[in-house]
Amino acid sequence: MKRIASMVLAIAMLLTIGLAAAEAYTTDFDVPATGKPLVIYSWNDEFQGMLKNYYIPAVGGTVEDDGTMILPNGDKIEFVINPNDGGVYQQKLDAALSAGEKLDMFLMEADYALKYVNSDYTLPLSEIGITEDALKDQYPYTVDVARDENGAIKGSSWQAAPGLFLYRRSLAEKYLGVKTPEEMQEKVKDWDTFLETAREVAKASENATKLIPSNGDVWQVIRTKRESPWVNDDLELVIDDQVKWYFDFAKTLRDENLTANANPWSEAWNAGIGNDSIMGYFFSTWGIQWVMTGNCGGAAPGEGTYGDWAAVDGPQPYYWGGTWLAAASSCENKPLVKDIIEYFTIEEGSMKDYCLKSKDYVNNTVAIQNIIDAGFTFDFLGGQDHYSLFQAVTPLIDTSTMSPYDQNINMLMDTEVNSYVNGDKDFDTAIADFKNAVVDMFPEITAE
Amino acid sequence: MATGRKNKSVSYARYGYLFILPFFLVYIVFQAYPLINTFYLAFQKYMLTGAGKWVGPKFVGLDNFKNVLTKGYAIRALSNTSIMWIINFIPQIFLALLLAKWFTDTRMRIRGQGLIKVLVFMPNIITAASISVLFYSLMAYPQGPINSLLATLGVIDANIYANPGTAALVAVRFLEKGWYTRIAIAFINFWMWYGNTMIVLISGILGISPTLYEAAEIDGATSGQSFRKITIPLIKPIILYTLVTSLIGGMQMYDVPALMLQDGSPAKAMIQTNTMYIMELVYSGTKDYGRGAAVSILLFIVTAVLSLILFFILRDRDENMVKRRGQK
Repeated sequence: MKRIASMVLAIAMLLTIGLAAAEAYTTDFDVPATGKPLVIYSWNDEFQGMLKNYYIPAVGGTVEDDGTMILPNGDKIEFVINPNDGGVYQQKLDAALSAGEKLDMFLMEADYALKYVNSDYTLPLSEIGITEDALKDQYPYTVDVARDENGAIKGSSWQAAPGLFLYRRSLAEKYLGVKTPEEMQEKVKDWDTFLETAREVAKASENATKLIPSNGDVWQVIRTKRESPWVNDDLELVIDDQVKWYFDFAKTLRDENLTANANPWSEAWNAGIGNDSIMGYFFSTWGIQWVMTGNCGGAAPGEGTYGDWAAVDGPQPYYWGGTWLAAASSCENKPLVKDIIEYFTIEEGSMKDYCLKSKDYVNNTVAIQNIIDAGFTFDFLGGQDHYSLFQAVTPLIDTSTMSPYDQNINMLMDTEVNSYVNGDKDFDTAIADFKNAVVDMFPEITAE
Repeated sequence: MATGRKNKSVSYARYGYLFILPFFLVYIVFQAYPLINTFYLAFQKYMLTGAGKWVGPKFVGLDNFKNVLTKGYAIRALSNTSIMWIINFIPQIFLALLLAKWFTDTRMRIRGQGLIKVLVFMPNIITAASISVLFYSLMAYPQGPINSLLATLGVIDANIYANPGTAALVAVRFLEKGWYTRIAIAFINFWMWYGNTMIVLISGILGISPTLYEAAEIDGATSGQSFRKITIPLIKPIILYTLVTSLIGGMQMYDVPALMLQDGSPAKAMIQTNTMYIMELVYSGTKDYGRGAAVSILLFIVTAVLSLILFFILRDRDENMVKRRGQK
């Protein structure tokens, strides 16, 4: 019995290797050895996995059993990973950068990319041998985000992050009688309708299922609709009308009990993807392949909630997140950083390969067009081609509200929103306290 | 030969210095330098702004102190720290005294003392972080064990997704309510440290000559009387010691409240301690080393003043009287 089992396993393994070998993408590697490891700072293991599963095999390197990545020239790649939660990643990264620790490359998230882009800690891409012309196939907004005050481009992103509203087909049919994504879009076409639908879902399911996980998920979307970033050029805190709208919307959601009270990134929030407590999520490109498939409780249609999802535009176009690769000013191996950045963010072939296997939405208009033209479908979304939806949203992305302060100020606002919806404070007190908190954390900012 | 012998009589004092050298090196690098540097930084405007630009260092006199005393959250943090320390220390010293009395009372002869002492001391061995994480999970919303227990007991609605309006009570967001979190933090500190305080008090009580108790017993004193009239006055220095060490530790309270603070929780206003505030000033948003150092020094001064006050209130007056008389 054991022998049969082990033979089956062995054959299965050989088959997988065979299949993988048949599809494997390879590229030339001519980076000279430096004898020193390449050190990359990141806040999770996503990019580490991308190097391990795509870049290293493509250039003919090896990954040892303990996860050490070795390039064909013998150099190693090392990662220093600190979580984003509570701003830990930025703390550790700032400390390493200012102390001049060994650090060649680091990842920047949309929430704070501008802080590093405008600092001396990042190298212009031209200094590692990448011209602006090389980025012509990238979505223009991703290039603009990485442009510093002097026009130099300091980072390159492998993904565009347009967002959609994802919902469970079966739950939508059960509670809303909705059968197609087009019908669902009608139910969430603007925020008023969205709120009505949230009431309908809570009522029809007797509070067993909620339309969205929490009010925080709404903020991810609505914040891109503001007219000004948190901090304007004169370093004044700007509290947009959208903020007031959001406080009230959050209060309505709480008072009428219309969310599952699962804050973004909490355990219940992740688990909701695999159970029936939450019908829909706002997610951008990376969220589908990185968060949803991992938490849906299955890997093929019929398992868990895999295949039961569908994507629609939702109430408004938005973007959420996005990751930029940057060369640190202390970079000691520019050719290798250049090669990695080119592999993931510039070369059409490697990006198409990564896109098809990972279902990430790569930052290459040509590769995406090719994939869509070839008839792309995704079985996680019940055979939907969500790339076409993403492609339509991406040109609408407006990153003018992005600021280097976003992560921290959003966190401070969260505290006040929670006070307000809990009923501990009225709106004016919450806003006054919010201003004080911002000015205390950023003494250079003024709040009228 | 004689002279040679003389030379051989080595002075070992030199080796003594050599042996204590490592301590001084470590002390200078990790204690003295940071201490002096903190005082230096407190008088400078020195920060890395949220947009990634360095400002300073530039001498600004007492600006940082004025700033933290009039604006910001230093005073709030100080009061949070004090409140959480007081609600932890009062029950702690009473329970520790009570247990110490029971374990040292010759008339009571409690059995299994060793085991009980070990059990009482046990929480002190577990790291504060683990206990905080445990309480954090216990108090979780909406399905944490405490909420589930309340639902099972029928105190709150069993359907955690029920509408707030339809049931009398629904699951509680413990971690978003300042007082619940404060009390949990104080309880953790109390629970972790009463065993330790008890051991210190027991050793103090055992240092008292048994003849005093025997004399009191012969004179017909009750157990309570001999505790009040003999034990308490004689272990005053020990009580002072536990009070001062607990105060110093309490004023630097960091790990438990930091781990009990949920991202975006309104409870922050009621549980942020001084050390947490210093961390926030120096590591989040704009990295403001000047104000961070100023709050550190403020904390230092407050702790020093409070310790001195305690010392003068609880000092042994009789002993001083005896000394003074002796000098005469």
